[in-house]
Amino acid sequence: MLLVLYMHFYCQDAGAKLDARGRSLAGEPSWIRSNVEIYSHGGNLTAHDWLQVIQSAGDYILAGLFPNLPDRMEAIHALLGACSKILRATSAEDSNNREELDALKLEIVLALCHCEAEFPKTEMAVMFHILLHVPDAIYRWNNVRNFWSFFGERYHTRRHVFFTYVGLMS
Amino acid sequence: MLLYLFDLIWDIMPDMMHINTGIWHRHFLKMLTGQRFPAAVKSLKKNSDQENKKLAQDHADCKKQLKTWALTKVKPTSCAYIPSF
Repeated sequence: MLLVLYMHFYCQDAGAKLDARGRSLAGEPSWIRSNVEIYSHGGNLTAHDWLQVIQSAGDYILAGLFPNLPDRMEAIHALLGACSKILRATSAEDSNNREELDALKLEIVLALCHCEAEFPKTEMAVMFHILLHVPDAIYRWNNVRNFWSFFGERYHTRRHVFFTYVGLMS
Repeated sequence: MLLYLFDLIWDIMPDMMHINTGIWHRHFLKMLTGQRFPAAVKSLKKNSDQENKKLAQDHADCKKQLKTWALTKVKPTSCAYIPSF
C-alpha cells in the first residue's frame, strides 16, 4: 500500500523518464543499441538510432510526456505516426497504389496542421513541409531506403582518411 | 540548359535520414531540453515605439511558450514504471 502511494505521489523528472525508456529498449540485436539516453545524451544518438527509435518505438518513448495536455500529445503522436508510416511505405513498379500514397499524403497534411496548431511557431520551420513530398518520391522510387543518404554518409570518415593519406585533403 | 527539364517536386529525392534527425533531434529534442530560443529582437528606428514594444512582447511570449515545452516534473503514468534512484 505504501509502495502504491509512493508510486502515485512520487514525481519523477520527465527527462529521466525518457532516458529510462530509452535504456529499456536495449537488448535486441541489430535494433536500438544499449544505453541510448535520449534526453540527457541526445547528441550521442546517430541518425540510424533516430531512425530506429522513430520507426519502431516513438510512441512508447514519448507516451505520457505531457499528461495534462492531450491536444499536444495528440499532435506529437500524429507527427510520429506520419514519420513512421513514411518509413514503411512501399510502391513497387507494378503496383498501382497512387490512392494509398495520396491517403498517406493526406495523413501527413493533417499531422502537420495539428502540429501547427500546437507547436510553438518558431518550431514549425518551412522545411517541415518536405514531408508532404516524400510520398511522391516513394511513388517514383519505391521505399525511402532507395534514396536516403546512409549509403554515402557511411563512408565519410573513410573517405576523409583516404584523401588525407594521399595528400589531397589538408 | 537542361534546367527546364527539372521538376522541383518530381526530381528531388527527400532524404529521410536528414529529415528525421532534423525534425526529432534538432527541433523536438532541443525544445524538450529547453535549448531552443528565438533570436533576440532589436528595436528598429523605422518602427514606432509601440511597434517595437509589440515586437519585444511577442518575443517574450514566444520564449514563455517555448518554456512550456521544456520538460518539468511529471507523475509517472503507471506503476509499471519504476523510477531509478
